[in-house]
Amino acid sequence: MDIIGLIPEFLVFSLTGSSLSIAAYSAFKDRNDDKKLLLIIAICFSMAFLVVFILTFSNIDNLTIVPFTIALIFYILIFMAILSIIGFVIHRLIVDESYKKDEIESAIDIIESSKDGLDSFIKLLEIKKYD
Amino acid sequence: MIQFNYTLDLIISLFIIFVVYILIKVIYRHKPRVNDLYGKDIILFHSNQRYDKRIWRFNIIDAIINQKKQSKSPSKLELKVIVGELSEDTLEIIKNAASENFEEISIIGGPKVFCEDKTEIYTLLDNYETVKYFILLKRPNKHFMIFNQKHLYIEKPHRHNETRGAVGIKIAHHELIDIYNQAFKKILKHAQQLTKEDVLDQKCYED
Repeated sequence: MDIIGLIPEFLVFSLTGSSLSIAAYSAFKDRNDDKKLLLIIAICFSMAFLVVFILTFSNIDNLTIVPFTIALIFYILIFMAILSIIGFVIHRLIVDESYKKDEIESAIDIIESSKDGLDSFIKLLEIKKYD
Repeated sequence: MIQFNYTLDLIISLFIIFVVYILIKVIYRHKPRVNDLYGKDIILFHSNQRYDKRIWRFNIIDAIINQKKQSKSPSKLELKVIVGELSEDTLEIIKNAASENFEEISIIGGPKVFCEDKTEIYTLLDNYETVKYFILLKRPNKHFMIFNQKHLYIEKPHRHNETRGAVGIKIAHHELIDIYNQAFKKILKHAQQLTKEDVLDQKCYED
């Protein structure tokens, strides 16, 4: 089987996959773990795109100098773009993760301050009662 | 032409599966320190998430009812509530619990209610004998709900005319529940029970 023939399909699939999962990520309103799962799916798709993209590189070795240079520029640009998308996705993952950590911490703060204040309120009631 | 090398192929596939597995593991990871100290699932609600707070508490009640149906245990279902004033939001939760056959519902509130809620409280006490309503001489500043000795809902301290964030804990740690249970018992000693007729004479905030 000729892998070269499959390249266009692979490119289309991986690109649609990654854009769909990023779109789904931005449409997701709740900030929870499932939202981050979409980012991981996006990473998988963009990595897949990268792999197929590198595979297409084997086709350009029989070109003359001018088309080769232009193709090379095209390759570099696409490469940078897709790497930035992966970087962006990873950055979102880290931001979401730290947001979750902050939320848990402030939840703990609320629990602790509420727990600590219980006794003082009970004491206050006792003082009022026996006054 | 590149020849397919199945061993290399297998190794690469396994490696990729492993990496994705680790990534998924990382985002869904269990937080042992937090979970051991407080409970299974901790959710923070911001002050503007009024709807989410409601839904969470309704879901907790549903979960308790379902669990009781499945286990067919004869134990009583309890709901303990301390609020600043018995207001619309809390009333809805309590109505839901009462209609779902919670056998013991105790509410401790501050000395005043909102004038427009009086009739609702009267209807609630009239319809459900399982609901007991107590008031304190001083408005409590710590508000919480204990759902069937298992789940906790804790509110951030707030004034009567504002809302603040809250925290929900599913399957809270029993030591934490104990602290709140003890506090509830102690506060209850200073509270005075109101009948439905008393509610109509209760002092209220005139906005």
